[in-house]
Amino acid sequence: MYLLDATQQAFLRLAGGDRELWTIVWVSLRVSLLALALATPFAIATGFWIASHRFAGRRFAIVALQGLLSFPTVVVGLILYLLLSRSGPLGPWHLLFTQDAMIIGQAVIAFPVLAAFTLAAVAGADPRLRETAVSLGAGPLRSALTSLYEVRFAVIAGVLNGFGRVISEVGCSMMVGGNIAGLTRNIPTAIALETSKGDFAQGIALGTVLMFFAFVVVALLAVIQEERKPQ
Amino acid sequence: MIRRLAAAALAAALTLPSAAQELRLGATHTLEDSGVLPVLVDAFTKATGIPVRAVVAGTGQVMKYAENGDVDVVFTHSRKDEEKLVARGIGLARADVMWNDFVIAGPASDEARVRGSRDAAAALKKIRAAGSKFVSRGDDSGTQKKELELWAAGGGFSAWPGYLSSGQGAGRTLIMAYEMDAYDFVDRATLKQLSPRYPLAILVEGDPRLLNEYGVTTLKPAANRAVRTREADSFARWIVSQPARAIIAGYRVQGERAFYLPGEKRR
Repeated sequence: MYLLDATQQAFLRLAGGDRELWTIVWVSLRVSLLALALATPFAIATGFWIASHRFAGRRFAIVALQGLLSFPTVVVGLILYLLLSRSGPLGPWHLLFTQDAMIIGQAVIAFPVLAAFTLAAVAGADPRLRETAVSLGAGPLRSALTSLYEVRFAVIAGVLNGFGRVISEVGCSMMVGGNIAGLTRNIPTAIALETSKGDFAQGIALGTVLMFFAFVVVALLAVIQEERKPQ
Repeated sequence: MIRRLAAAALAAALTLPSAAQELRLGATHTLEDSGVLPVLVDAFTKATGIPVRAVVAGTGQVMKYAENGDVDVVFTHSRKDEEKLVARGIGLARADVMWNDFVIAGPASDEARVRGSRDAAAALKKIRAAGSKFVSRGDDSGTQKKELELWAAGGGFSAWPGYLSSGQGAGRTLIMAYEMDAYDFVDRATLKQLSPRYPLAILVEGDPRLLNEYGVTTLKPAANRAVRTREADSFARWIVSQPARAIIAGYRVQGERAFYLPGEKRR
């Protein structure tokens, strides 16, 4: 009845190329992919560095990184909001309620996931590999890249997990993006809005797209796991 | 032993709902954001002993809640929609409760030069012509319905890049407008309530079309709507009673009257 009707309408809209709907999907993809592009290099470098160096407070750094995995996204949103607000220290940048603000927020949210995956992967890799690389005359950068290449599947799994976390994140996007139609309205904030507006078909349609993304990510992870086995 | 426990659980299950016959009130964002809603709700509960769960949403959405039987009575500000609700047989009766007005607010710099205009429709067109930023509610609320009426009166609406649709309540939309130096269409009570922290200038006011009327509509019980008629009726009667009128007339935001009673003239 109600649920079925709404679902049927949802698929009609998806198939019919509803412009508003696909704009929302596009905003979501664009923001999340750019956020990952922004976070990945820093996160991999951080994860690698912590894994391959011995330093005071290393154990604390590892615990902190793992703790950040469950850092509430709304708190990221709150802090970012206070920083970017007109009355905040970064107010003059005029970033609040823009896609850029959402990208920064999602990059912050993705960072610990990527860094923790890289850290675990590098720490678990065979240390002889890097030693061999160094003994063959590789510099620090070269040997780091060799180690990372060796654990590339685990790092990619980290990126995909990070994607899964940010694409479905609603709290931070709502707070710093503002859910502006056509600009900062992504799939999760739109679902929140449509549900409260009573347009359940649009909510279901967007939810379907979101679940499709999730399945793609899970499928990619499965493929990667398969690839990894022969090694 | 088990049987006794089961009997106790059953008794508890049976008594719980009747003990908490709370009234589900569908109310608009502007009532909440102006601060008057909790004051009225508390006074009503104190006077009648009926607990209230206020569900706050845009008017359009509150109408949907009413249709789906998710609320028992609605307190909204779109006379047309309220009368339509009654005409469609979902609403039972509507009564005027109070009124105030909408304004067009914006940054003091006022780049579209609408300050002092008494023609709200023309002012909106000027904002569009100047390409200025304008944050609309975009949530099918009473406020947005009024904004769209004004666009229609001014010859129709067409979006421009600076026209931003927030999809959020009156308060949050105003905060967005303040943060982005944009224009905002908002009810005066919400604006006053937020003005100490988010000072937007009132630029356009006094157009008779900016009237903002609030009404309470009771709902007809139906197969898919288990409306708590008794509680809803008490609320509908109480909200137009002398004690409620005194609260509305006495409610002040920033030292100013925020709402007026039906038939009452401003100041």
